[in-house]
Amino acid sequence: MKNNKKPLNIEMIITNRKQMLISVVLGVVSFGLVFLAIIPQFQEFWTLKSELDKEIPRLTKLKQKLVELENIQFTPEFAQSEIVNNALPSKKPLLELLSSLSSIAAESSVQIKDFDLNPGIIASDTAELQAYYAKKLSKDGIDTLDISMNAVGSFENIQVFLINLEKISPFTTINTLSLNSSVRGDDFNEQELNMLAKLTTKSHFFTQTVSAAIEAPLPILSFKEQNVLEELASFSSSDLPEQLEIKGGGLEDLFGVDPINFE
Amino acid sequence: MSQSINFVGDRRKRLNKTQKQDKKIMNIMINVLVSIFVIFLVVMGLRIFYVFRLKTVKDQQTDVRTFILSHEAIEKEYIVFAQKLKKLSVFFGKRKDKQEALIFFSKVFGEDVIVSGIDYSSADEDVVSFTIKTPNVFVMERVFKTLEDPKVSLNYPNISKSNMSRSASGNYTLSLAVVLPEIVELTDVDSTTKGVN
Repeated sequence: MKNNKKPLNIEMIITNRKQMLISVVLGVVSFGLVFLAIIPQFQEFWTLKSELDKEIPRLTKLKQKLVELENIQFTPEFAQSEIVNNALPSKKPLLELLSSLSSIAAESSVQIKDFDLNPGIIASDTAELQAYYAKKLSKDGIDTLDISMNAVGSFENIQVFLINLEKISPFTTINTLSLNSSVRGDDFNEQELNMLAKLTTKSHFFTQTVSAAIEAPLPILSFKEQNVLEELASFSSSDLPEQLEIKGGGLEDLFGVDPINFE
Repeated sequence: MSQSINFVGDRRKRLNKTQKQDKKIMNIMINVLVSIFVIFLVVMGLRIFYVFRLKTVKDQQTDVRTFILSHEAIEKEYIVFAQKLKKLSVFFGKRKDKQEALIFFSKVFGEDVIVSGIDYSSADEDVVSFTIKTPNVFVMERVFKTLEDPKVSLNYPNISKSNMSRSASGNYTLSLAVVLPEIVELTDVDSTTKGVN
């Protein structure tokens, strides 16, 4: 069988179809440019755009937070932070409570008797403390100092004392209360003049661990919380200076024994 | 003079036609390549622009973060302040309901009835127990009538009475367990008292 197929004459194609060959080369270059340069560049551009779209709001948030932080220190609410810290201190407010109780008892002419308090865990093994904090304190971030006492005075004075008791710093609530006359007899008026109030109270202090992300916005105070600030402004607090060091501490020789010298 | 015959005339014509077409295609391809190159330049320009923009934004973020960190003490103080205020508002809310109940019950029965005991320590936070004391049985009767009065039941629909006792001196005491409603819209206690008395 005779082969009719003519051999490909490359020279003739180059001579006669030079422009077609150039077109093919241009097509290949175009194709290569699209797939090897434009598409990767576009993908990279798109990734950058997505990242930028995420980063810009983040920057806006950060800027907003910075403005808030710069302004917050001059807000009237934050100016009352000391009142809030007195009402809900970050430590066990034993001395402050005693001082406040003493002043409201004196103001309302009420005598406090049989004062009893449990200061709670003061010291323990580290492990026990950790377990205690993990179990009790992380629940709601509040611990209480429980006190029981008897208040003696006239019914009116005791009423004033009880009203004032719930307006002292640290924040104190009456848990139980029973009123009885401290004198026996039929005279109801005389009984009212000599009343005995047995009460247990809870004074609260703050133990929550607070953490915040750098990008997290500052918390906004609700209307309810602003009302609380107004109420706290009328609270009475002790002016006790904060004790930051232990005074004394064995400097004095209580027994006056001369030191023993060994020769 | 001899006459010449052009045997490749047709072929030349076809070749010219094809070459014209090739030139057209080549022009199109040049345009396509130029367009693609322009697109490439645009995309590359955009990429460079975005790289620069992203770097600027990140640098700004770093600066702002540094400023924020320099205000760390204020932020810490403010967050603690806000958290404390939040806790206090919860306490105030709970206590207000109980105080309103105490004020209501210390006024609603009249002056000769005293609230001699309060117990907030119930496991159920919405229950407050009062112990009321009257000088004689007639006042106690009035207390019972007052408790059945619609003006009292409107504010506190769940009141249970227990442990009524009489002392040697004739004083009567009664325990009341009051379930605090979720929203108490107290009616005027003074007008209620007047109406009952």
